[in-house]
Amino acid sequence: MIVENEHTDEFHQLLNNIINQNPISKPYLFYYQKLKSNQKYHQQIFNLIIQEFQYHTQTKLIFQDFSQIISQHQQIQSQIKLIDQIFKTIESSQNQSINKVLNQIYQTKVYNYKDKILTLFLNQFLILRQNGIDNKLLQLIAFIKSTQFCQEFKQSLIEKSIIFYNKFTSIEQLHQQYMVEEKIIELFQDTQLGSSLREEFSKVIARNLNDTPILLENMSQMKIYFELNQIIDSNILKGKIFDMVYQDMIKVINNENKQQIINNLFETKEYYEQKVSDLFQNNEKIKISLSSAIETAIQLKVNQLSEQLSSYFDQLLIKKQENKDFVKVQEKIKKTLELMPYFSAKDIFEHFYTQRMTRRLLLELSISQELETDILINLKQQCGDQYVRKAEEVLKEYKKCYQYQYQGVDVKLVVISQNSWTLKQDQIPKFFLKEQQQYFLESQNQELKQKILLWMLECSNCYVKGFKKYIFIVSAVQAMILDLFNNQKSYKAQEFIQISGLSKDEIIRNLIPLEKEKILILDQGTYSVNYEFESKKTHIKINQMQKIEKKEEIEENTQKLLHDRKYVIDASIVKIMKRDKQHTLQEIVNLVLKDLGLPIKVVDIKQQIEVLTEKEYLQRDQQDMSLFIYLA
Amino acid sequence: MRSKPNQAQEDIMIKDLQRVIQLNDLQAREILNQTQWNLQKATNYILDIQKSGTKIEEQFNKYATKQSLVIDENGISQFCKELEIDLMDPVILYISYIFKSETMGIYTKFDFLYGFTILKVQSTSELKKVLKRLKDDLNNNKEILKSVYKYCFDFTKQKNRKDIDLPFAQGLWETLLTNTFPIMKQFLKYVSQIQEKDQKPISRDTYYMVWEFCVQIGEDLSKYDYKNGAWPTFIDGFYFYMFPHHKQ
Repeated sequence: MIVENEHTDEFHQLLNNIINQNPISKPYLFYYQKLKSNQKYHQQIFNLIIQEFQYHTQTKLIFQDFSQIISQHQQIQSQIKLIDQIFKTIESSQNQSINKVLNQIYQTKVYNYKDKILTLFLNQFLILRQNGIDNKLLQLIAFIKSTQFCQEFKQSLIEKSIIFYNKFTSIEQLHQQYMVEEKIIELFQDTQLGSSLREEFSKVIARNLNDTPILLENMSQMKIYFELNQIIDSNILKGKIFDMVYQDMIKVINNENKQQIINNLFETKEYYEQKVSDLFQNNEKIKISLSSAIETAIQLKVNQLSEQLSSYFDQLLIKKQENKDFVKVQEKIKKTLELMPYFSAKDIFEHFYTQRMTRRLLLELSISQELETDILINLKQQCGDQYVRKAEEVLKEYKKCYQYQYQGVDVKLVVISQNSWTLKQDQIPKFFLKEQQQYFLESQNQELKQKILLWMLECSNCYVKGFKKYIFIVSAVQAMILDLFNNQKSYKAQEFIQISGLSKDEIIRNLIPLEKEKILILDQGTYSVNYEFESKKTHIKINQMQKIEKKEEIEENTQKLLHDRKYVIDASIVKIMKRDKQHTLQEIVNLVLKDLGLPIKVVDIKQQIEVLTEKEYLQRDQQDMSLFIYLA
Repeated sequence: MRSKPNQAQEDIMIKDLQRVIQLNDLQAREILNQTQWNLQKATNYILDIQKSGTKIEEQFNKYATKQSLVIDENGISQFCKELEIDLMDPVILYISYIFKSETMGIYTKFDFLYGFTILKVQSTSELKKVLKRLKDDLNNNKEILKSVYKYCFDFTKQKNRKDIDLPFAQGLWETLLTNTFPIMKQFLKYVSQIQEKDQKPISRDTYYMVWEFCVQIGEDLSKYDYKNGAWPTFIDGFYFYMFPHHKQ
């Protein structure tokens, strides 16, 4: 019950004016002084304030919609403030702070409507979130912060946000929403709520990134993908690029058409590098992923691919239409050399590269000797001395070419040491060009006289002056065959075999092109010269028959080299142990791998250590079983 | 006390001793070690054994071949029968170890002379009485078992080779190690499933390492470091037999 008397009356009036937002007639100071003078009525006035305010909150406050609640809240807050200001004097140790009490009354009322308010505000949050940040959102947050159920709101907000996030199914949508979410999170700054929201949003982004396939041709989508990937600092893009490139590379290296493999490998690599540059800003992590995928794929068939790489080099260095543009060839060579580290079967590469280079040089097919030298220098740097030694020898010896004329025959020859000669071991029949062979031996200085010289058959070219105006460019065996027709008009194939001592295979292989080009006639098993032969050209180059056994030969050679690796590993182990006297098994493995740089398995090295232990080159230490000691 | 002789000097002394009587390198080394590499003392010791070993010699002759030079398989079979032990009993390996016998399947006169003297017996029946003690020693004393195990590699090995064939190693593992090390049961399963074409001889290092494996790892294969450990590839093979999914 309100106790009204003359003293409290005006204050009652004042209060009502404040609460009902009516203008106040007298200045504050008036009331202030009045209060000060009427101290004994302080308690009464205090109670009055409480009662009026309580009545007001009970009856007048409505919690219907969001804007209303907000504006009400603001009104109440300013009212409390005003009341507090004016009635400050009646505060004493008996009366509690007006501010506190009034707020408590208000908050109690608010709390009673907690569930309704929470639902209202959470929905409002959702709406505001979709439309963007504005003042309303700030007010919402300010209001909630003042209530006693701020924690509950936060909890519900996280739950509702998760549901909201999970509705997104495309990265484009997420990308758009990201800016809004960032601003919201900023509002919550360093609080738990802020980091939880960020965490949940990132989870959804990650999930969507995982589910979205990579389509490199879709530029706009990829750019969004990349941005989102970077935003959440994830490894998803890196991982997907790896898988994509790896799968692609496996297809490339398993291609039926072996000739095209290296070429396709380069093209594929370039394609992806371009994409990484266009779409992903040449991001380091992704570039590394790309290289790693290529390297891993190559490792699956590293031995065969290393051999094929040497074939690829060969194709680039041979004189032909495609290689007429020297600058372009140099570029391609440069790019190819950059890829050398991936093809770690250097011993296999070296064998076939030397073989092919020797052939190129001797048949004078190489487009540039200087380029050959430059390549070797680069390979030496990249692979190490021991892998380039043979090729270097060949090149050096090739440059020291011998030329002479004897009995109407011009001879140009090259002397290559047997260690570096990787081609077939067949020799020219002794009777063929016997005088020229003899002459060379006799006219040589001491250096070559001490050595045994074998005249090799492979890669020997002959210019044979035939009938009429024709000059035939043929192999040595074909030259021998044509020369034999000087003695006899016709031969059977068997006779050639008998006279020369060469294999049937070799003779037939050389006869067939001669017959095909119509220089020889084959009639009932007998060969004779076709003097009717006609051609516009003077110099007739005979296309040689490709060796059918080439594929098997390559395989055989590769297998032999792989087997020889055992001895290479032995030598490396002994070298290391002799130098360092003792090492643990792991150390030996690491040192050998580093020394050789070949794709060897750890178990292979372990096996050779066992072999050497048995041969008593090494001994296991008595105390430490992982330590091996070199036995002098 | 004379200073310890070097390798070359040792070899010379061993050869000298072998001129006195027919004994193998192992026995010579053992005796010289005991007499601090004093050739005279060693020689005296041998002569003493000979003098007091007539009964032992008689025992030897009962098993030896007609020429009385060595005891061969038949004799050994008889010997085991009288000891009432199986030919495959590990204790016979221990006895050979004590004899310091050189080759499996043969006992020389000095094997008996030396061995029986060390064991302080003069006949098979006396030897039978100490058999139980020997068996217990072998079963309970890991140091003794280790020495016998290591000794058996050379005992089994042929003179011109550095390794022993897998079936022989298998036999030794079964005889000597299965009773003490439960993991050997699985190990022998692994060995028996190796196909003939994949069977390779066992090197000394691998053989010794099998012992270490039993002692250091045993049943607890989780301790086996197949990646960084220095175990021989033969034992790695056992590990991958047990855990095929670890093989890469």
